[in-house]
Amino acid sequence: MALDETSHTDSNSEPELEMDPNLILDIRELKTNFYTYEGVVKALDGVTVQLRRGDTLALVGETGCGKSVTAKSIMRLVDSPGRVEAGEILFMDEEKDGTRVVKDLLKISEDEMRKIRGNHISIVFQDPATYPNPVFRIGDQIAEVIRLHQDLSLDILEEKIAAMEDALKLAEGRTADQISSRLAELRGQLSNPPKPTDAEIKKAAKRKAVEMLNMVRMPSAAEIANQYPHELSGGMRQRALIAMSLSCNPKILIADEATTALDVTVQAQVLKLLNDLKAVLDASIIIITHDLGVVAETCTQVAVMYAGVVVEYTNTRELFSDPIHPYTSGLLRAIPKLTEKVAKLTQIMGTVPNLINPPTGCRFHPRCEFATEQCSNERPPREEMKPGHWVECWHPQGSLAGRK
Amino acid sequence: MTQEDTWSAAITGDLQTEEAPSSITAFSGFQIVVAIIGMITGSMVFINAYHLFDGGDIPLVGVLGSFFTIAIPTIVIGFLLIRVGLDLRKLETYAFSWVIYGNLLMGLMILLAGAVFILAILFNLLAIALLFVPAIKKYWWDLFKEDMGPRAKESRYMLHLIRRSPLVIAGILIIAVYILLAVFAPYITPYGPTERNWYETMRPPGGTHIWGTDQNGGDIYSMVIWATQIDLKIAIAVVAIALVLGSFIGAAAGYFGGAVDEVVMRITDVFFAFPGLILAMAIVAALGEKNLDNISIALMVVWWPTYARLVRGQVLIEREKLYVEAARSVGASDVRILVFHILPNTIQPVIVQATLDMGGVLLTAAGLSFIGFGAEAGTAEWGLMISQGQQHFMNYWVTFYPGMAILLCALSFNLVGDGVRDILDPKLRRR
Amino acid sequence: MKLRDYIIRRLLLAIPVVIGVLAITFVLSYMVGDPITLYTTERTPIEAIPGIRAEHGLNQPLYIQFFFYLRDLMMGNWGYSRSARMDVTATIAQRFPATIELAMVALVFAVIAGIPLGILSATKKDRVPDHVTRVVALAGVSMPIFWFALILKYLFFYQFYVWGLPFLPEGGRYSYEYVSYTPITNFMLLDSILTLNPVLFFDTAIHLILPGFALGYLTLAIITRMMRSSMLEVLKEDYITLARSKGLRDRVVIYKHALRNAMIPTVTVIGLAFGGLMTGAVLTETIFSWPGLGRWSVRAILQSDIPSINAFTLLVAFIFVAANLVVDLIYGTLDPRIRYG
Repeated sequence: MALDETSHTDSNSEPELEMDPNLILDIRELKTNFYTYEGVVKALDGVTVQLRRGDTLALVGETGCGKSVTAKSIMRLVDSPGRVEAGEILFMDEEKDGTRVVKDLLKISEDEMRKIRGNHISIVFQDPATYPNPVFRIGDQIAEVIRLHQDLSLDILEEKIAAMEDALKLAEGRTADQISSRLAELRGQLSNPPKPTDAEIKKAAKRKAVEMLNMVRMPSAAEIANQYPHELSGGMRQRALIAMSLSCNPKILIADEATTALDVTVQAQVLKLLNDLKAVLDASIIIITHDLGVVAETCTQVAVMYAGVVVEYTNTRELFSDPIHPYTSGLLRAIPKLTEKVAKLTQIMGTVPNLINPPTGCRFHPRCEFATEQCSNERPPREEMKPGHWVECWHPQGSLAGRK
Repeated sequence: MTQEDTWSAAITGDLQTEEAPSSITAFSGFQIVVAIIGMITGSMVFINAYHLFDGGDIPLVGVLGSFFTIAIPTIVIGFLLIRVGLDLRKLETYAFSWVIYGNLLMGLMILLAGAVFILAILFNLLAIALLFVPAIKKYWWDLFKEDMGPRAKESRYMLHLIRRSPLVIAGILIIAVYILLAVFAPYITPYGPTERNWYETMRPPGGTHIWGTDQNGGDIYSMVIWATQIDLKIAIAVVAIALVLGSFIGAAAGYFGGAVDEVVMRITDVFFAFPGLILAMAIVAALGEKNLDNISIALMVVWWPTYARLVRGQVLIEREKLYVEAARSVGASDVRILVFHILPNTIQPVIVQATLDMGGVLLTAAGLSFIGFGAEAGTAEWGLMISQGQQHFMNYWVTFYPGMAILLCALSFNLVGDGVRDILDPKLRRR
Repeated sequence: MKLRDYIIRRLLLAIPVVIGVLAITFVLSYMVGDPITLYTTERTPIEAIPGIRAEHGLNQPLYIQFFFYLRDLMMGNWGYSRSARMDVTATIAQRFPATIELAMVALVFAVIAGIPLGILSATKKDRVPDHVTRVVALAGVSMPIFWFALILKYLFFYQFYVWGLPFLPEGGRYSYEYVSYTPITNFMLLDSILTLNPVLFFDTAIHLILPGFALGYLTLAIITRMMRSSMLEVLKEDYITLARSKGLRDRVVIYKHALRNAMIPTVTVIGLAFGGLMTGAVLTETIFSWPGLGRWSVRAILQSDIPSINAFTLLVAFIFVAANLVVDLIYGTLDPRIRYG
């Protein structure tokens, strides 16, 4: 992937960034630190992963491996004491007229980033209890995003035209003539719709919000829109939050453990919903989870994270049939299978490392049964060990065991 | 001291009469506080020891229990002795023999009170020392270390944060300065607190009177420093007693719930219906005499509901927490849970409240004195000084310095209280 | 219908409180002095005393006397104020507007200045505006009100005069030597508007500046601190992260999403502020020669004027309970979790 080096100047005057046209998001060597009382937590240590158009990418890993931090880094919502230190996040943005611009999300201005948040890239969080604002109605909170990012003047005009047409059917005589001329006038504005009033915008946004709620299969969407978050159940709230994040038709939806707080049955519904919507809205999804079952069911690509590093990245089928990194194979072995009878569950020895003083070299080496001295000295480079299958490891296993 | 005594004292130049009482009252206050602390720590140890020695075959229970009963008499006896001694002082005339006998009797009283006091301390120390005898230590030491381990680490972290916060340090330093001023007042002031020089009234700051004099010829500087004793004592005593009283009641209400809880809640509701100063005014009026002791009592009555509510709320929260159920499921008794698990978690907000309240009590007490409720005219007390200087506010020094004294004192309490509250807030930690 | 339940519960809780308040004031006023003194002087012959006692029901058991007390209160017979030389009810009627007007001015000042300051302090945490605001607020809660009032008087009345600057009046509600005033409601600002008298309005306003500022400063400090801490808490909440992830501007996030939530606990503080304002009135009215309830109460207590003490304490307690009740009800309507439970 050819890439022109960027300078630290305003994105308008930068030389063009280039990106593989199949990708929509390209994260390179992302490093994020947290500066705490006890020391510097090196949460992300060179995360590299890609999201292709139409993918559903899973970011899998144990608690504390940096999945959520990655999501927040993409959205540039990392708060102090955290800070994104280095790396690039290339995003294939689309202007209103359809031209594609590659932007480095870490380098653009805050204003530009705000235009992207909620609009082109949006995020659904984990806990539907604490994430909606308790003092505003659900419908209003969704309408807020719509009003912010979308130009509703065309929609409003079309709505007016539709109403006029309905009225025309019932009118007669002079009124009918008046309506027709007005209709013609309105139709003439279609190519350049006038700026609507605030009241009109509010109503239109509200209507769209209800549409969104319908799209996420919320029962009695119109009534729900007028209710407050605490009046809804957990599953409904999560649907509402999903509606909120999809309302501006984003290119990328990040679901940060979006189903972890839900019942298993609701979880299945929400995942199915996400996948169906992906097709309708032509979006790409990043699902952050620690549940391999979810990964197997819904995702096309998988990136396995450990201690702030992506250790393996490939498509789902390949990952489950041929895990190459010892951590991945350890994870898969640890899943109890209904068909097997074992006395003891296998586990990966050791615990997640302290990221203030992470292990040297490969971060997994203290827990790895194949580790050698090289693993503690040098960090393995990211290699495409099989077509479409990237691994960072000195001693790859699976079908490549025994080599190197 | 009555106005007459002050006059005659000034004329005869006999200023010795003032020194003993102030240090004695400080002494008695100190004694009371130590006895209360001894009672609390003793009862904690006692309760846990009782749990350990449920069989009762070791007489340690008796030993530990007996000092409990030592602490109460200490307070009572010591208090009574001091009061009697002070009353004797008041009877004192300038008859020569009476002075000697009066002083002698006074000395005996003090010695006796001191002896009882020292005995109480020794008993407490003995009880604590006995706990460490190996035969006994093995019963509780390991459990104790387990319980306290994480808490010790937290405390160390907290102390570190305190050291790093300049405002808290400043507050603590100022309070320390005030305490030193109170203790060493006789030695750092050129004049006594009730000394008046009628030839130098209303002098502006300068010369021998660093901060000027008031309309009666009292040296402002000396009066402000002497007043520290009074105001600090009131603040500390009121908060200490309100805290102990309120906490017990609140803990009982929270832990036992039901009718006890409802009654306590209604009572505190009624108390909260009155603004503090106004209720204190009414209580002082009801008690009759308008003097410092009555102010203290009135303020204690006004302030205890705060702690009752606070501790009750905390106990309610803690009671529902899972670790209580966990502790109960491994066999911890109710009392043990209450003392070792719930209570430590309720201490933190109580400490914050107590620190902030010391400033509040100080301001209210000064306000009461200002209206005319507090010290008798002629005492050196900050609020009173401001009140007396009201009419002459153009001579700013009469009211400015006492007010600044109040301001700095309350400010330092607030600084410490605020700082400690921010440090103890679990959401702000680890950042 | 959680809101209705909430309102009912709140109202019901107020009843035992009111009863308790009445009981306590009764007991306290009894302790102040034997009520017989209200009806006798030194010259009353001793033989007449039992008769006087019987006449006023003072020989009845306490709970019966309490009943008489309640009956008198409800019938409007609050006694005679020795210190004011008027019936208590008349005294209250005369002095009430003065104190309330002052308290309202102080409260409005405190709220209008305090809330923005609190927001500023929270959003610019640990920077210069925050430190300055915190110092100002800290001074407010550490300072004795009466001393502050004196210092203000010294500076803006005396020193300004000495320096030849335009100075604020020493006290009083208006300059009675120069301006004529016939009371309608006895709320001077209101009256001056009703009678279209700009001179009176201006004069009254000038006289309200110093006492209003002195009285309001403490409340300002409390509101600022409360606003700051609740804003800080709210800003840490998840829904703020969500709001930012929607692409909203920081200003919108703060003033729309955060503020609505932060106001809720702050409103309850405003109710408590009434108690502080009453207390402040007691302490500052004398300094500014303000003919209000505070000054009356101080004189009454110094003269052991039992009916006045009683009436004042009761009145303040009722105002306080009422204010807190109103605030709690407002709180219930503000928080949708209670309104639409």
